[in-house]
Amino acid sequence: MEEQKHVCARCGNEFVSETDYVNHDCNVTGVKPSDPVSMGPAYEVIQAKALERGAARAEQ
Amino acid sequence: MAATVEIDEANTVSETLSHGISDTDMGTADSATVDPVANPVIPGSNTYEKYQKIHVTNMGGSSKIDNLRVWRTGSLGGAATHKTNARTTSYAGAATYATPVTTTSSYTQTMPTSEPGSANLGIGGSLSGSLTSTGSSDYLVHQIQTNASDTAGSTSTMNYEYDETA
Repeated sequence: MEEQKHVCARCGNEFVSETDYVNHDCNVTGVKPSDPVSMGPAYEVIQAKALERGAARAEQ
Repeated sequence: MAATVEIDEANTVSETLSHGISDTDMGTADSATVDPVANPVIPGSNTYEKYQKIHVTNMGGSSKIDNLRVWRTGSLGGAATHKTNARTTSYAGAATYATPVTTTSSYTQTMPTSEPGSANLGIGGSLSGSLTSTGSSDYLVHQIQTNASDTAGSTSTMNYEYDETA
């Protein structure tokens, strides 16, 4: 079986490991995939809503 | 700071993982970037199964990601159905990756068309699982199964939701 490849769906670059993918500087987003900006223009809303849901469940 | 999350899709026999997909293209090619116009489904046939997962690339100082919910909003064309392994009860554990096929999926749960009342995609094989460091959910497997009388494709929205604990 071929070795698994990791492809950045934004810039198309291929990597031999997930770690290499996460640490690359994407020339489309301008940031690494570990940077929240890579989630797109609504990233702050996405993060805020996820934290709201988590906090609400913790209170239950 | 908060977690950074993306959706990944696996394709081909070698489980090539496309990270950070921006849409889900379903048709008759096993690719994360299928052109459904160039690769249409013959009425009565199925799309390739999709294997996707929620990937946390950075916890951003948060302590936990859990409660994964997946659903579709918007109608399918004709009498098509959308089947998945995502389910809130009788979850069968983490789906094992297999080369995607167009034969009828072994997963028979109908994809929810509104937000499920509880988690329907697991982490570590369990709906109550969580991520406390970077990592991925179980595979979400789904497939659209068309009816012989269907004549047109459709566009709808896949929703992926998670809870985050600071």
